[in-house]
Amino acid sequence: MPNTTGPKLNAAPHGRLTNVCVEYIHPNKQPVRILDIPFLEIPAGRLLGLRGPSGSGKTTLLHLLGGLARPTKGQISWASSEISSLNEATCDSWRRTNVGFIFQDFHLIAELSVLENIVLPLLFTRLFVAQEIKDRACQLISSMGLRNPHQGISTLSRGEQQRVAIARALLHEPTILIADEPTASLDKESADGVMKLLISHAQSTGATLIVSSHDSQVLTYLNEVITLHAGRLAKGEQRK
Amino acid sequence: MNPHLMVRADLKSMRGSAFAVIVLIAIAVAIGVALAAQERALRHSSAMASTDFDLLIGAPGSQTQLVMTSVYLQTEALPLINGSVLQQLASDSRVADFAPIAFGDVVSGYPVVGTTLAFVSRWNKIAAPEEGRFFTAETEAIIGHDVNLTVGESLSPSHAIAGDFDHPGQASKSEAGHRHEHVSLMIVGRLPATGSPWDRAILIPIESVWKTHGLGTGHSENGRIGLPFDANVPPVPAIVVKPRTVPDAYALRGAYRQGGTMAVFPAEVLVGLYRNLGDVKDVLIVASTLNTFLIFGAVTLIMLTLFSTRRRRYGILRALGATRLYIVLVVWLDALVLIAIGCIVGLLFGWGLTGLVSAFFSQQTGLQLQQSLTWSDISSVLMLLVGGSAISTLPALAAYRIPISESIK
Ligand SMILES: Nc1ncnc2c1ncn2[C@@H]1O[C@H](COP(=O)(O)OP(=O)(O)O)[C@@H](O)[C@H]1O
Ligand SMILES: [Mg+2]
Repeated sequence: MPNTTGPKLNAAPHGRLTNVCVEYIHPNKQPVRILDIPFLEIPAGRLLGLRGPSGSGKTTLLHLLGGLARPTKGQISWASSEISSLNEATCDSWRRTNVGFIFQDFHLIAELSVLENIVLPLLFTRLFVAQEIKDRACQLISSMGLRNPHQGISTLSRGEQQRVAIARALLHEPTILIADEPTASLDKESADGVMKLLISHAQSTGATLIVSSHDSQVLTYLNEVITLHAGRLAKGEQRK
Repeated sequence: MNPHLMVRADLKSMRGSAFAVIVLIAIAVAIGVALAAQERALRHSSAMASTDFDLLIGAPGSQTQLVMTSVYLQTEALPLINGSVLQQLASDSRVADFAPIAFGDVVSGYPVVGTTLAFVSRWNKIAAPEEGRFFTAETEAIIGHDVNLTVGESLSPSHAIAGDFDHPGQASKSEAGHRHEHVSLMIVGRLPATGSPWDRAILIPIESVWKTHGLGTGHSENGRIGLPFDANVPPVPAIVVKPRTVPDAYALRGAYRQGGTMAVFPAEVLVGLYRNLGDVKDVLIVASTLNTFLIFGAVTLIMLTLFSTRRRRYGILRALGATRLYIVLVVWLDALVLIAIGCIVGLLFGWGLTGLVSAFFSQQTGLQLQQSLTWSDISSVLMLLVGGSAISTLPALAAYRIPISESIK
C-alpha cells in the first residue's frame, strides 16, 4: 500500500494526479468546481512552470501538490506516498521533510530576524539548531545577496523578503520545491535573479521544481510549462 | 521542539493588547487579594487585641461600649462602679489577678489610662519595659510603644472632651484649656509593642487618676501605689479580671452580673459583634466568590478573544510544518506568560493596597492589622493561571477545523 510517508526521499520523486477535482459550496448551495484535472504526471527532477491568469486555480493546485490542502476527490501521490489519503499529522510530517513551499505572501514572522525565520521550521521538531546548520543558513543568506542575518524582517524590501522566504524553503534541502508566484511583486531584474536561484538550487540538489506565474515571461527559464484556465489544463497538456 | 522563538515573536506582536490584558488581570487579582486579606487581617487583629482581657467588669450599661472603651480605648464616658468591688475581688479565690482601669484624660491626643502594675505588665508577661522602667510612684508614667514622647519628659494631662483623641500625637485646641495644671507626671519607661490600641496609651498609676480628680488615692498611707487598696477606695469605670480557671471565669461572670455590676467576656462580645455583622460578611463572601468567577470569566474571555484574532498565525505555522503540539505549546506559553505577569503584578499591587488600607486603619484605630498571604490566595491565582492558559489554547485547536490553505489566505 502506498500509504506511508517513509523516510526522507533521497531523490526527487515523480508526482501524479488522477481524477482530481476541488469544489466549493457556493452561498447558493451549488457546488462550484474550481479545479478539475483528470490526469497530470510530473516526472522526477522536472522544472515545471504553471501558467494561468489570476483566479485560474494555480494556488489551489500548488497547495494540493504541497499537501496543504486535500482535493474534494481524486488522488495525489508523490513517489509511493499517496498524500491525499494521509492523516493530518502524517501529512504534516511528510510535508515538513520533503516539501519546500514558497508562499506568494511569503508568510514570514515579522518579529523575528532573517536567520531566525530561516531556522524556525527546524525548531518545530528539535530543541536546538546545530551550529553547522546555522552556518549553512548564513551561507544561504549571503548567497542570496542578503547582508545581515540578524536584520529584522520588517526592515527588508519585498525583494529581500522574497529571498528570505526562499532560503527558508531551501534550508532542509527538500526534494519537492514549490514556488507560488515568486516573482509577482518583484521588478524584472529581481525576478530574473529569483528564478535563476530557484533553478540552480533545484538542479544542484536534483529536486523537482514547480513554479507558478501569471506572467509567461518568467517561465521561459523552465524546461516545461503547463497552462491552467478556469481550473482546467489547456488542451494538449493532459500528460500521460 | 523549541517554542522559545515563537513565544518571543508572539509576545512582541501582541504587545499592545498584552499590556491591556496584564493590567486587567492585575487589577482583578489585586482587588480579590486585597478584599480577602483585609477581612482576614481585621478578624485576626481584633481578636489579638482582646488577649489579656479575659473578663471585664463595669457598671450596668452597654456591653459593647465597655469593651470598645477598655480594649480599643475608643473612650466614652462610662458609668462608674463602686470601689468596694475591688475589695471583693481581692478576697475572691476564683480571681488570679485583677486591675482597675480608668480613662478620661488626654495628653497630646493620647489617652491617659490609670491602672496598676499588674495590667501594665500584662499579668507579668512583660518582664521589663523596652526602655526605662515601670512606674513606681503616683507621679510617674509609662508610655505605650507608639507614643511619640520621650522617656524623661514631663507631662500634665488634660480632661478629655469629645474629639481630643482624633489625632494621636497632636494636642487638640481644647487640651490646653482643660489641663490639670497642678499635676505633673514624669515618663519613666516605654512598653514593648502589643499591636493593639494600647500602644498609643499613656499608662499611669490609678491612684494618680483618683487624686487628679479629687477622689483621694485609695490608700490611707500617702505615696503608696497598687494593691491592696483601702476599705474606702474610690469608684472606677472598669476592672479587668484574670480568672484562675475557665469554670471560675463563668462563675465570676455570673456573680458580677448582678448587684450593681455587669461582667462580660470581651472575646464573646466581639464574636457577637461579628455575628451581628454576619449579613454583611455573607454579602462580602458572596461578593468575593463572584469576584473570583468574574476574574476567571473576564480573563478567559479576554484570552479567547486575543487568541482568536491569531488564526492566520496558526495557519502559517501549520503551513510551515509545525506540529499541533508545537502550536498549542506556543499559545499556552504565550497565555501563561501574560497571565503570570498579570497575577504577579496583581499580587504585589493587592499586597500594597492591603498595606495602605491597613496603615490608614491603624492610624485611625491604633489596631495593628496583621497582613498575611494565605494558601487560598495563592491557589486561586494558580487556578487562574492554569485554567486561563489552558482555555487560551482553544482557538489554536479550533484553527485545526479549517484547512491550512484556507487559514493562510
Ligand atoms: N474558499 C473558497 N471559496 C470559494 N471559492 C474559492 C475559495 N478559494 C478559492 N476560490 C476560487 O478558486 C479560484 C482559484 O483560486 P486560486 O487557486 O487562488 O487562483 P490563482 O492562484 O490562479 O489566482 C478563484 O476563482 C477563487 O475565487
Ligand atoms: Mg494564486
